[in-house]
Amino acid sequence: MVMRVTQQSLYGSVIRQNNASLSALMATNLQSSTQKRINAPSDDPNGASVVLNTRTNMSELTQYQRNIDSAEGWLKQSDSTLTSVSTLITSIKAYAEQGATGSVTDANREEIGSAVRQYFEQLISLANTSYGDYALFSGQMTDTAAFEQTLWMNSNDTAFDTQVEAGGGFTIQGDTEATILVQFTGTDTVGHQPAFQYSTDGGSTWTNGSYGTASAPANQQMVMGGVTIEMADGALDAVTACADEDDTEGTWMWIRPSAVYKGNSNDDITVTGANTNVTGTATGDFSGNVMVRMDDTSGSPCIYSYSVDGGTTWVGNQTSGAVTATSITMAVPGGILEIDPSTGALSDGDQFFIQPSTADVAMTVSPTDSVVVNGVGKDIFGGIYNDEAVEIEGSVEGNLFETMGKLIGYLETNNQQGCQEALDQIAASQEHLLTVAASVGARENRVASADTMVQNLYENSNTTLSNVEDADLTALITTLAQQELAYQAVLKSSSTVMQLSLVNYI
Amino acid sequence: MAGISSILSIGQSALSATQTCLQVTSNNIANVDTDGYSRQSVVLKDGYYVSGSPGQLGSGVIAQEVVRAHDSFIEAQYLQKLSARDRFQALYNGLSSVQNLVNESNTKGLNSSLSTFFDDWGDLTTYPDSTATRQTMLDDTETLLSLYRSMADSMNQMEDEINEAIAADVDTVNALAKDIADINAQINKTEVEGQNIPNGLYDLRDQKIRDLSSLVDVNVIDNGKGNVTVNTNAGQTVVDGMSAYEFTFEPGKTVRQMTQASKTAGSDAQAYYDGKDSSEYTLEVVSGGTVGAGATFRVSLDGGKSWVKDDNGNDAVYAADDNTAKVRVGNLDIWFGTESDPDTTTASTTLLAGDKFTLVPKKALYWYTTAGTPVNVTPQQYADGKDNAARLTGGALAGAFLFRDESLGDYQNTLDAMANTMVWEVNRIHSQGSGLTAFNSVQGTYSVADPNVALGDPTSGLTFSSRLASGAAMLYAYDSAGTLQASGSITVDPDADSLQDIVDKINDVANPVSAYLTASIVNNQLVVSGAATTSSFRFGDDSSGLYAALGVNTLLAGSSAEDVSVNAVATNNTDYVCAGHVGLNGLLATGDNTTALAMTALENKNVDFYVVGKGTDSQTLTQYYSSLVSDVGADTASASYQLSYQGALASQLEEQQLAVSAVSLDEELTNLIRFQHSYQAAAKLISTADSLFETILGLKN
Repeated sequence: MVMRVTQQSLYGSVIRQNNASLSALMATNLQSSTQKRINAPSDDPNGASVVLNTRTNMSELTQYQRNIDSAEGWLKQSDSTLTSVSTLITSIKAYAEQGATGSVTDANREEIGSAVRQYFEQLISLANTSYGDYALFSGQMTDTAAFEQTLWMNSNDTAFDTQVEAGGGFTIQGDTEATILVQFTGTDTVGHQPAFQYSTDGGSTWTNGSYGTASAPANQQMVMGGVTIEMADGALDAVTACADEDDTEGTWMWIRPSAVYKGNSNDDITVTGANTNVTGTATGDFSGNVMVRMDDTSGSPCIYSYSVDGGTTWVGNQTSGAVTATSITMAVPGGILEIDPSTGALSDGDQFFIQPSTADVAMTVSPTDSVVVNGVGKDIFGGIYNDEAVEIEGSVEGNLFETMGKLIGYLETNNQQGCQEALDQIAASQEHLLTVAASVGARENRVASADTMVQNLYENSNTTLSNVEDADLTALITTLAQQELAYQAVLKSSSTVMQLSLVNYI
Repeated sequence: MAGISSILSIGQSALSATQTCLQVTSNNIANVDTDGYSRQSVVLKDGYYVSGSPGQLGSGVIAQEVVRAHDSFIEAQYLQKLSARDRFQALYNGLSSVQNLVNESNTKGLNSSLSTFFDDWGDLTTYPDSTATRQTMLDDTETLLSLYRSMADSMNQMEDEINEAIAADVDTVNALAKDIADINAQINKTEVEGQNIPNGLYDLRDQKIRDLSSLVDVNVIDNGKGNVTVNTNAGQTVVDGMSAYEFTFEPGKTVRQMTQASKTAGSDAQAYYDGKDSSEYTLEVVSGGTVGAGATFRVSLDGGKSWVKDDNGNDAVYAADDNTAKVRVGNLDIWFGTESDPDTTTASTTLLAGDKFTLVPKKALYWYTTAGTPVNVTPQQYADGKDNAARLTGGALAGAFLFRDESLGDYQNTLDAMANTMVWEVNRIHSQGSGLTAFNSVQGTYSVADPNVALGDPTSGLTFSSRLASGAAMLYAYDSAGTLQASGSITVDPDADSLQDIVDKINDVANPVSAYLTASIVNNQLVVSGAATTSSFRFGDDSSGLYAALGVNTLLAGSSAEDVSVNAVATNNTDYVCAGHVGLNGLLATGDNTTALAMTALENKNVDFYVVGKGTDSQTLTQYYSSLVSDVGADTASASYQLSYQGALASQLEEQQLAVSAVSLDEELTNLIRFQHSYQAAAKLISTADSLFETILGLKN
C-alpha cells in the first residue's frame, strides 16, 4: 500500500513503538522482581480472588496448629496425672489388703490409717492438677481448684441411711484430725434426741455426745467435740441402740474425710419458655444452647424449627411426636425437648431456650474436628457434689474419694470387715479411672492425627497458592531476553529511519 | 507588439505565481512540526484566453487560491475513536487508583486483617480469660476497622477529586464551545468562496473540535463556511454556527412526571430526599392516596427497567409519607412535601398510581435548551452493561462520570454492605455471650429516631431494623457477691414493639429481673442499670437480635465502612469481651469458650449481604471481599483492554489523517526546487522579452 509518510507520523510512530517495547519490558521486570505473576488484581482477577481465599485458609490452618499444641499440652498433663493416680491407688490397695487381714493389730491399723490419710491428701492435690493456670478437672471453672477436703458420714445401718436421705441428707460443720466414731446408745422417738457416745481414738475411749441448736425446726444437731452433724428428726427416730461398744447390730456412724467437687458439670439442663408460660424439660447430651420455635401448633403433630447458632439460622419443617394434652416431644440436635401444653397457652411463634450446663473445654484442632481437653472431676474421681455422694455408673462403688474416705474411717477405727468392703470397692474405682485414662489417650491420638492432617492441608494450600500466584522463573527469563532483544531492534531501526532525509543530499 | 508585451505580462504573472508557490511551500516547511497544521498548496489556474488571429492565446498563470489538504471523512471517524479512547482512559485512570487500594498482592491489606481477627478469636478459645489475648484481639480488630475506614475515606476522596476534575472539564467544554462559535463568526466574515479561504481558522477550528471530542462525544454537521453544527451523539447541540450552548455541573434536580389524571387533579406533590447515592432513584406510585394516608410507591435504580425487590422476590413497596416519617430506601431517606415546601403537605398533596419522580442524589451534568430547561445528560449504564443512549456516551467526561457512578459508587456500596454485615454478625454472636465481669450499667450504641415507633418499621430510624426477628432475649441479675438473684426473658415483636415498649417490658413487675434492674431511654438509646449500686447483670440468649440491634453487650459499633469502630465498653475494659456465656444458675465459668468458638465458626459461615437494587448475596466474609477485589481487577483489566483497543484504532486513523494533511519534508524540498526552476524559467521569459524589445528597437537604426 502506497502511503504518504510525513514527518509527524514518522516521529510519532517511533515514539509509540519505543514506548510499547519498553513498557512490555517493564512489566516483565516487575514480575521478576516480585517473583509473582499476579501483581495487581487486573493481572488475573480470578486468580487474585483465589490467592486471597487461599491465604485466609492458610492463616486459619496456622491457628489450628496453635490449638493443637495447646490441646496436646492439656491432654499430656491429664494423661500423666491419671497415671500417677492409678499408681497411688495400687499403693493404697496394698495398705487396704493389710488392714483387711486379721493378723494386723490395732496399732498397726492406726499406722496404716495415717499413711492412707497422707495418700488421700496427695490424691486431692493430683485431682487439682492444672496446666499452666487452668485446672484440668474443674469443668469450665478452670480458675477453681477441683476438689476441697471435707468431712462426710457413712453408717452401717441401711434403714438409718434411707431415713437420712428421706429427711434431706445431713450437714457437717467443724473439723477433726481423726475419724469420729459415733454409737447410738439409746432411742428417742418422742424428743428425737437418742443418746449417743463418740470416740476420736478408734474406740479406745468414749465420750457422751450432746445436742445443740439446729438451724431448722424439724432438724437435730448432734455435737461431738469440735464437729457437729445436723439431720432431720425422722432420721434420728430410725436409729437402733447399741448394747455395748462391740454391738454391730446397733447404729454406728463414721465421720471421716472426703472431697467435695467445686467445679461445674455437664449434667443439668434448664428449659426457659422465652415468650410463653408453657414449661418443658429436656434430656440428652447437648453441647450448647439450642432454641426451639413452634411454627404450627394447630395440628397433631406440630411443626417446629430449631437453631443451634443463637437464632441466626433456623432449621425448619421439623415434625414433633404425637401431641397429647400434657406432652409434646420434639427432637433437636443433642436430645429431646418435651413441653407440657397444659401449663400455659401454647401458640404459634412460642420459643423455648434449652440451656445445658456446659463443663467441656473444647478446642478446634482441624477444620472438621474438635477435641475436649479437660475433664469433669466428679465424673472421674467421685467425691461429693450437690450435697450427695456422686454415683459413677449408677453406684457409689466407683466413687474413689468416698471409698478412700471410708477406708480411712475403718482403718482408724480398727474395723477389719470395713477394710475388706473398701478393698472390693477400690478395684471398681481403679477400673473406672483406667477407662477415663484410655479416653484421654484416644483423644491424644485424635489430636496427633489432626496435626498430620493440618500439616498436609497447609502444604496443599501452599502449593495451590504457588501455582496460582508465582511466576514461572524460566519462562520469565526467556521472555525478558526476548523483549530486551525486541527493544534493541526497535531502537536500531528507529535511529536508521530518523537519520534519512533529503536535506543530506541537496 | 501585442505578442511581446504579452510575453512580458505572461512572464510577470509566472513570476508572481511562482513566488506565491514558493511562499506557501516555505510556510509548509516552517510548520512541519505544528500540531493541527494542514499542508497548504496553491491552486494555479491558467489565465483568460484572448481571441487572436491564430486562435485563442493564453495570458499566463494565476495563483487562484490556497487550499489545505484535509480529509473530513477520516476526521469524522477519528473524532469518534478519540472520544471512545479518552472515555476509557479516564475510566482506567480512576480504576487503577481504586485497584491500588485493594491490591494485596505484595502487601498486607484488609483480607489479611480479617483473617488475623478470626485467628485471634481462635486463640481466645484456648485462653478465654487471658487479658493479653483479649487485648491482642482488640488491637487487631481496631487495625481491621481502621482499614475499612481508610478505604472508605480514600474512596470518598477519589469521589471529590473526580468531581473537581469533572467541574474543570465542563468549564473547558463550555470554553471550547464559545471558541468554536467565535471562529465560526470569523470564518463567516473573512471567507470569500473561491478566492479567500481562511485555512488557518479552519485548522484552528478542527483542533478545537478535536479537543472537544476528547471531552464529550461529538457529531459534526458541516454546512460550509462557518455553519458548522456540533452535536453530541445523543442529540444535544453544543455549537450551532455562531452560538454556543452550555453544560453545567450541579446538584441533581428532581424530575416530576405526573400522570394526566394527577395534573387535572392539581396535585402539588414533590418527592424529597436526604443522603446521597450514585444511582438515580425512580419512584413510581403503586397505590394512590394522600401523602401519609395509604399512598405507596416502588423504587427502580435503573430508570424503570427493573424494580427493587423485597425478601420474597416481590417488588418492595414503601409508604409515601411526609417529613415526620421518612422512609429509608437504600442510601436515601425519602419523603413527600409540596412543590414549594418540603416540610408541609396540603390537601392537594395527592398521588395517583403511575406518577413518577426521578431523584438524582448526586452532582449531575445538565444541558440547557434555548428555552432554559435543563436536560439531564449524566452518563448512565443499565444493568446489562449497555449505555443509556439518551445521555453522554463518550469522551473523558463520560469516563469520569461512569467511573464515579457505576464503578466507584458500586464499590462503595459493596464495602458498606460488607462492613454492615460484619458488624451485625459479630455483634449477634457477641451480644449473647458474657464477659468476665457483669455490667453495672450499660448504654446501647444505636439510637432510634422515635422511641414510640415499632423497632422493625423502616421509619423507626434504627439502623438494623430490617434484621430483627420475632423472639425473646434473656437477662440475668446478680447481687454484689455475684450470686444470681433472678433471670427473666423479654419477648420482642419487631412489628409491634417500640423502644419504649421494650423499656416497659424490662421494668414490668411481672418480669423477675425488674426488681433488680431499671431500663430507661437516654438520647433515644437503651440504658439498663442495676437498681442498687451493688446490683449487676448479664445478657444471655437472644433469638430476636434485640441486643445486637440496640448495641448492648456488643463488640463493634457503627454500621457502614466510614464509621465502624470498636465498642468503647470493650476497649476500656477487656473483661467485657465475651468469650463465654452465662451457664447454669447464672455461672460465668472462666474457662468457658462457647462464644469464642461460635465467633471462629463465623469465618466459614455463609452470611447475607444487602446492596440495594442487587438482591441478597450469601457468602462468607472472606469470599465477599475477594469477589470485590476480583470485580475491581476485572473492571480495570477490561478498561485497560478497551483503552488499548480504542487507542490502537485512534492512532491508525490519526496516521491516515496525517498521511493526507501533514507535511512531508522530502515533498516540500522537492517542491522548493521545482518552483525555484519555474521562477528561473519565468525570469528567463522576462529577459527574453527584453532582448526581443531591444531587437525591435534596433531595427530603426
